[in-house]
Amino acid sequence: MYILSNNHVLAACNHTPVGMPILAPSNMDASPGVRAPGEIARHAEICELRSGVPALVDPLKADLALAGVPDPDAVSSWQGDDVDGYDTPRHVVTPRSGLSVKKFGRTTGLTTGRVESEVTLSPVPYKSRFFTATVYFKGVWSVLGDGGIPFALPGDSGSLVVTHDGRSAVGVVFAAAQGGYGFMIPMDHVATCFSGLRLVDKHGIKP
Amino acid sequence: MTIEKAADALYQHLSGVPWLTAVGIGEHEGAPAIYLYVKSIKKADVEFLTNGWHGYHVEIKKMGTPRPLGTSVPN
Repeated sequence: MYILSNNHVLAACNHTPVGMPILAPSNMDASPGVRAPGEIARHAEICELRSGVPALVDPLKADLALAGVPDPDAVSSWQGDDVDGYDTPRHVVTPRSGLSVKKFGRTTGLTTGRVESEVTLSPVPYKSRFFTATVYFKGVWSVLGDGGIPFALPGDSGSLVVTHDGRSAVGVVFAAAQGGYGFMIPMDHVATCFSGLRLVDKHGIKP
Repeated sequence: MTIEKAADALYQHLSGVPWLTAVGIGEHEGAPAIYLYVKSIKKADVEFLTNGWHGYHVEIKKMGTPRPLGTSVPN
């Protein structure tokens, strides 16, 4: 069993050593009334982030990383809190324009939106301690937040996007832009990464 | 021309203009459409797209530069 998030979250843009502990909550989110940060996984694999103009470097389709879970009892498939959260669906659907979706993120919590377009080419500037570069992406999808509310903000990376009814997984958030947009890697592509992934549902959920 | 090739051609045509954010493909009012994302509607020189691009409607939307959502502030 693995946890899935973005390379820039779990792997510090290609630079986290394999085997590094992944803590939850993060040290940054430690506070009174919240359980102390503890190990839930160990960094394992990445989809490499590569920089370069499209004429020289093929644009990327993913910003993803995996961390292995040594103790499955330490994690659950539940997304978000007890009030607005939902279980991870096992079923995957291909994004399409107009599809109503939702996600639960660390910063913005539950937000809803509509899938707008498959982005054919877009530069995304990365800036981290060991990796500052422009990465071109293709085949990722834009999602416009409903009611003028941003679909995602900093800290929401790695959120699972699901259909509004919660029955199907649609993508994984990795970026956002002013104007209320979030960007997601489509789950049908995610499922083909790392030699194939399958979502886990009904795992470790409190009755 | 497929909509994918038309979208690529539009990106190439606009390559280097400062107001361009991204190009996408999707649907608008039930028909395939190209989405042109621009940093500023006012500054975008898009009159040539009024009647579409290679037969496809072009929907012009304001959007800033996409950025990865690394954690920057405590909850």
